[in-house]
Amino acid sequence: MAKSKAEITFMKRFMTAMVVFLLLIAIQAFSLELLNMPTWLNVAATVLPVAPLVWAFFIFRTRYRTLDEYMKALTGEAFLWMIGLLCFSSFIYGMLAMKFPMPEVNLAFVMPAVFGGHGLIVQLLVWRDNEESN
Amino acid sequence: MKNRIKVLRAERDWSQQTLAQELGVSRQAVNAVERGKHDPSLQLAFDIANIFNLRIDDVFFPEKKLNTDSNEES
Repeated sequence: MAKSKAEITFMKRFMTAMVVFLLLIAIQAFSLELLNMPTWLNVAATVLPVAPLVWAFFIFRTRYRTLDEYMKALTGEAFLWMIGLLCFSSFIYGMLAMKFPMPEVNLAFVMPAVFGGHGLIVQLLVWRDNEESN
Repeated sequence: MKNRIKVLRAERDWSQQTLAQELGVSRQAVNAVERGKHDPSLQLAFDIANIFNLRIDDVFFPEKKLNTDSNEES
């Protein structure tokens, strides 16, 4: 099925943001390992990759606004599922951590897990829709 | 809300994709409205009716008619 112009524009911009993110990760690793910089520059280099992710978020928001009402509803439902999964899993983890020694979880992995999970759930909801209509 | 979209589409030999393109929405949206899974906004309902050159109440009708007449009489 042919992709709409809005979808193509979204994909191009989103992938550009991801490429910039990877470049900044490389710059971050290089500068922190090899350069002797003052603390404030180290902090700046560490958080630098967040910028393209914020950009990607705004790209997604623009895309969301171009969706029709049903796809907006599906996207909203997927967010609800993802927030539920995140809240329940973090609550279960926290409850277990109070009583048992638990492995450390890096908070930096929460965002890609949430956004990636959201995208996956949207696809699952669309797939379920297609299955029901067949 | 029930509707006659599937019948109207079949009369014109339109696929869900064709109707979706005419309306400027996704095929999933047409599919969900057609199956009564999603109640369309007033704007989309008007757009659908206009595509078929019909009035909105010729395309959409409520799931259950409220039996208020008999209550008012008693």
